[in-house]
Amino acid sequence: MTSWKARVPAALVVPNSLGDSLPLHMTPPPDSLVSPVDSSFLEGASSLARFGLDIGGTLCKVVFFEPIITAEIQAPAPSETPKSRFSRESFEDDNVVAPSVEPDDASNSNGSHENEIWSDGKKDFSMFKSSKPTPKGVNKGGERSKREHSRQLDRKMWNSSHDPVHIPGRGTLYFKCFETWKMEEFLALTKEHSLVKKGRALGATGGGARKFKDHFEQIAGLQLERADELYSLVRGIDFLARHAHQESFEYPAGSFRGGAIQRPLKEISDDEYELQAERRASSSTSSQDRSKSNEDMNGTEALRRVVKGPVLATSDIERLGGPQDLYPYLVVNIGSGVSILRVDAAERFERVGGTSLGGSTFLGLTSALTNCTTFEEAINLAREGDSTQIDMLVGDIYGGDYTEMGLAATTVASSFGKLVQPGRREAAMQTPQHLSKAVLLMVTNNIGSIAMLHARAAGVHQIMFTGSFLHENELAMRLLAVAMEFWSKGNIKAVFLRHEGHAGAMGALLSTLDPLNPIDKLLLDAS
Amino acid sequence: MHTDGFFRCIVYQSCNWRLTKFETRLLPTTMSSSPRPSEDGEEPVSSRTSPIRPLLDLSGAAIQGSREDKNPSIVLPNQSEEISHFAVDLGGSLIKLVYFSRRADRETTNSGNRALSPVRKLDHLKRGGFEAELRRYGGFPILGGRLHFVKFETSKVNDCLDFIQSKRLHLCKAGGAKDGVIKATGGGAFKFADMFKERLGATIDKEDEMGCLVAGANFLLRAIRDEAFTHLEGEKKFVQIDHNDLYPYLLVNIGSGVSMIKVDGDGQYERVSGTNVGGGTFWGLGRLLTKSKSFDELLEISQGGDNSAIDMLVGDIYGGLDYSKIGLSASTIASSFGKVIGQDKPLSEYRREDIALSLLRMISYNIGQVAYLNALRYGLKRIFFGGFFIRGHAYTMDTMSFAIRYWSKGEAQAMFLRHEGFLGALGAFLNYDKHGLSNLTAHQCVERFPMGAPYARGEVYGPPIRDLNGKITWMDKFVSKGNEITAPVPTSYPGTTGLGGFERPLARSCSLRSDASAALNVGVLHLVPSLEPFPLLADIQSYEPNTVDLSDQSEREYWLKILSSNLSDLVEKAVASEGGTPDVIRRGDAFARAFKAHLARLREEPAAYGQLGLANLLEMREECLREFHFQDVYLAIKQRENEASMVVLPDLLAELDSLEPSARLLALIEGVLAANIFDWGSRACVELYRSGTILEIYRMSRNKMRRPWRVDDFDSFCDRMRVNEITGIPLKPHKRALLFVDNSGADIVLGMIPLARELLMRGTEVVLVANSLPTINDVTAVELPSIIAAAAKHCEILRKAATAGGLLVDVVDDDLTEKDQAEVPFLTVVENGCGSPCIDFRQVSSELASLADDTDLVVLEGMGRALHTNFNAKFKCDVLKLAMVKNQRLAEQIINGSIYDCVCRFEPKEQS
Repeated sequence: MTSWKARVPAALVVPNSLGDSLPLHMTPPPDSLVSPVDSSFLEGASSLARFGLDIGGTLCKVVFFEPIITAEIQAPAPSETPKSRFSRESFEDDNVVAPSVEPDDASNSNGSHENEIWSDGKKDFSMFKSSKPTPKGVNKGGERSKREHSRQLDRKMWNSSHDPVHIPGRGTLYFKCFETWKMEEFLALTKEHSLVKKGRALGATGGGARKFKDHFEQIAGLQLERADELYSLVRGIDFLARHAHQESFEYPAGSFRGGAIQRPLKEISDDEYELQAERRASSSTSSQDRSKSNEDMNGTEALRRVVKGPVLATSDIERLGGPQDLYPYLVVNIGSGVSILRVDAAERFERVGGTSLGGSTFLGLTSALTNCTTFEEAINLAREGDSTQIDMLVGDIYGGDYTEMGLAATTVASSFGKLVQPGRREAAMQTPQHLSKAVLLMVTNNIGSIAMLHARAAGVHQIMFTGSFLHENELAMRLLAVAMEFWSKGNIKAVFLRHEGHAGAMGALLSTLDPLNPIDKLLLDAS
Repeated sequence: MHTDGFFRCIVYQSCNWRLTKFETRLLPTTMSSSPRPSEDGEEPVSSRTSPIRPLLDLSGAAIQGSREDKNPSIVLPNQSEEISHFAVDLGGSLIKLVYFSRRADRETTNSGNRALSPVRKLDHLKRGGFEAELRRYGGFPILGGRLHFVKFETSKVNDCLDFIQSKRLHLCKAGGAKDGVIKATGGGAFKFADMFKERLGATIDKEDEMGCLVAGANFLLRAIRDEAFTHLEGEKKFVQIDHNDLYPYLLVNIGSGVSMIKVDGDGQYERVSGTNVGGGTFWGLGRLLTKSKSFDELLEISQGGDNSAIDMLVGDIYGGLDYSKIGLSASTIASSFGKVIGQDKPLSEYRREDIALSLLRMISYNIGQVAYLNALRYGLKRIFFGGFFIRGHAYTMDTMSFAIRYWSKGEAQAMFLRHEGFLGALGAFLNYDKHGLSNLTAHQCVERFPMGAPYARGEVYGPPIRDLNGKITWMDKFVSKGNEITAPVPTSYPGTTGLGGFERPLARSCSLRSDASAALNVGVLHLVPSLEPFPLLADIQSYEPNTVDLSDQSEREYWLKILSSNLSDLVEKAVASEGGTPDVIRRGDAFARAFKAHLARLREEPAAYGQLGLANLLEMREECLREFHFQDVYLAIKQRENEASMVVLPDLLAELDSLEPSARLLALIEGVLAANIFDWGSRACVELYRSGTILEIYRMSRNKMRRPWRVDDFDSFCDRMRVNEITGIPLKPHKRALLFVDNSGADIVLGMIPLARELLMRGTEVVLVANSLPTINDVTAVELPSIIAAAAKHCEILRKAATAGGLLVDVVDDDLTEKDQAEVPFLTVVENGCGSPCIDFRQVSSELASLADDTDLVVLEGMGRALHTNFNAKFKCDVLKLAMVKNQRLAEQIINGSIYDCVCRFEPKEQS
């Protein structure tokens, strides 16, 4: 179980992530929203939340942990350090006393209030959020309208389609992200809403941890505690894979019938998926028992929506073959660009490569070629697309399969290769969905072949594909899974994470936790 | 029926190129002073091969018809008639055509004064001939001829078919028994099969694409000396491939898509990987994003781009800081096109240049990276790139090289191929089994860069150029458009070649920029099976003919300047040599423009035609003259000087005979050095000509010959040539001497012939080695017999030796008994296979090579052959290098002397 841990940062990496984006224009918060209580624009975050940020080139990923406070935790811890802790009260007002769980804070006055909330034993956090009373007596109607504003704001700023992960008895992990270019806005809101207490440090990784360090201090008065990127990434993957139920998954062997010839573009009917899923599920009942308790909260519903079709690899680590067979494995993190790491053992990993053709290349090219501006739009376009009018396929060149070389007629021989012919430009520009699909295939195929070559060079049998590019990107995941299976003749498996883009932020959060702090301990002990 | 004697054959070619008939007659040379062979010698001999002539299988040749016929035809039963002439690679974007022409172009064969020189009937000469080729290779003989490389856009396939029809390529039966079969490769082979059948009536025989690529690459790496090069940080460097240490390598073919092939040997290969991001992606996506009209335009605009506006750089993510911890600098690209997102900016607001550069960089780097990963996987050190993507574009090559060097930490090397786009077509062509091309080696290939039709930004188009007149008309039209030709456009089909059928990009200046032809750094490949390396070279692997390295910029500038400043004189002379008619003047203009364009091209891209040495530069000028049908510019001057010198010869010989052997030897060497001043290739000497008569100059020059010379090994030479003081018999006479002669006139008549005579007197067989083709005022192998004949009138020794050597076939010498003949050392003439003032000993005529066996003395005379080239060359026998330095810069450079200094360098055979 400890096999996914990687404790020693070997080198840094540029794992920028990319995920869903929001409408480009973000209105500044109305003045009325500058309310000290419960106007947090970050839905779900309380003053006790622990934050981890991964500030990439395109997206800033945020993971926060909202603990479940029990009596045990409320007992004063002997040597608290003030850093890396948040209390809602302290965000609101530096003079306001922090909850009792934070004994180093001068006052404990609000502790009882917190306890009320936390001690009601509710694990339903949506309830908690909606029913959370206002500590400083704002009238009910105003409260409601402000909450409504807050929600709207929340939706504008954040992408919240990632499922939270509940760790029984400890707390909940929330996964959010916003576009990095909205950073100043984020900081302004953070300050306005007093989300984070001045002088407190947030765990951060990614290039922006360095770039925006001064911004955090100057605009929001926040300290960023930088965590190594590779370390964060690997640690985050490890944590997620072990704690988030059904976090990692793969496509079962033979999902894509192909025989000798690769058929990456072949669509598989839902029936087939379900059939396979059933088969898979029946063989992994043991793990189901263990995680049954979370299942209700977790909502497999959401999961299905995200990754429709593939069989889930529950209780992931065991599934991956156990510690002794696990290493080495490859992490292919597809953010703005792509970083490829080889993880040799829990304590050893190395950046072995990367490519600049990543998620932002997909979005950049697609938005240059079509009217779409967000990743979601681009992906949705691609889903409807048919790139055979754009790409030159093996079949276009050879009139069929190029059997000697094992290339299927449907294999893309040259991305955008059909547009070489004169007069095709105008027609192509009329079909944004085809263009988007072609860009997606270009980027994904290329990542697949580079990943495969690296896997061979490293002699690994598992490739963990992560990064926000894969968010709700069934097409890409299928393509990668098929390519790995086909070219390795089943020797190399593609594995995916449900919280694709948040591993780095998760790692950053973990690396700033203090083992002596009871709240931090909740999460640390879980890992 | 005899097959002895001399004959000159003119090949009549029927329109379908079959060789049907030979005209034979005895050798008539057009030299006025030449002794005319008798007209009744009806016996043809086995052929001599000439480097520019198609090689014919003359074994079993027989004259058909009555012997009394004036021009009996000859049947060549062993000459294979079915010669396939072209192969195509029908790619997704481009059609690549390789075709073979067997005739020497008309412009080089219609000269009246070129004829085969009479060479002694030596058994070993036959060995160098055609039968030997057959024997040597066991299979099909190598056919002499030319390989042409042409490309078309696939969407303009009809242009390609027009071209094939206009060249009548399809009328030749392809190799093998099947009628009308065309070897083709590439994905389009199936697609266009019907079209080819319909238009050309020929069936397409599809060859496996990967197999063709590999065969083509292996052929190029073996047969073309300056084929592969590295390109790092803007520096192009040719790599000599040792064929024994070539495999395994990775061949990356960048077509529309990219294939990566691991090559282990001839026919041993495996496609190991590929990527869908290739040339088609660059062009297809680039066209969408930039609205470029052509691939080349897209490449060109990328030169003015700045990708930091498009790509997300490491510095953008890390706040302008390097990410040195993992070796990423701030300018490293983190995400291609990453900056295009998050900015509500329409495509039109981005600079096209920036987009083009970003795209090019993304694709090039990615290909480099994937190639590296494959090389890593299979432990390959060499990566060769082929396919019509790179087109000589420096940025592309640098990016790929960088990627490979970076990822492999310098372990693997990226190399590019000049014929990058023609691997497949060439491979398909090699599949015809009757060319024997697979046996071809580097010394049998000569690449030429003829001037094709110039392009005028798509404005001037014309019919396919089939002859010289068409070419000249073209250039006239081009110039009348007010355009300056700054680069030659290769080959000869407007609208299809040179730019590969891509429309001419709108160049910024109103001149034909070199970018266009940089896209096709490919000349016409002359296959000359009769060329061989000179066996007496000490080490052919390390042999470098050029003494002066033109990769040095100032050096290159100097010589380019010399050539351009001499150009007007040359044109004047050339025009005069052909009668000075308006037509000739036009031709001269065209030549001048073409040659200027070559110089301009080389100034911009020195390695455009391969490794550039002074010898190549000088030869290019001669080739360019021949291209415009100036056969022998100095013909009249040469004749005049020969005649003037001949008058003095008897006196000189008498004077020499009166001297003691060692004094005579000194006088002879002095004479050679003094006479070497008559060089129309030297500007300084041309000035001398203006102020004095030939004899005055010779005397003046002779008076200056005071030893010690700047390089003076005379004593050691003299020692080697010692004679018994009593008997006068040489102590260690040489068996055979090869005398590489230089200029006409005094140089040959008063310099080399007396030296040859001295050697003959010492019992040494003498072979005068002269140029096959005219160059400046150098004496040619064709002219030599008549000069010797004239000299022989004054000298018994020469007469006997020349008669014995078969040079004076018309002289019936009754005095010479059989016995005498056996004792008299032979004096013969052999051509060297060159048409240049310099000589590259890696490529000499097979006749010359076959004479090497018994040779123990080589004399190189003149600047071109002893200084510009071969000054540092080492041989397996005694070698004497004699020259007067007629160029101040060269004198300073290689002998630390000054103009008119003399070089007498003797390097005795190393005693092993």
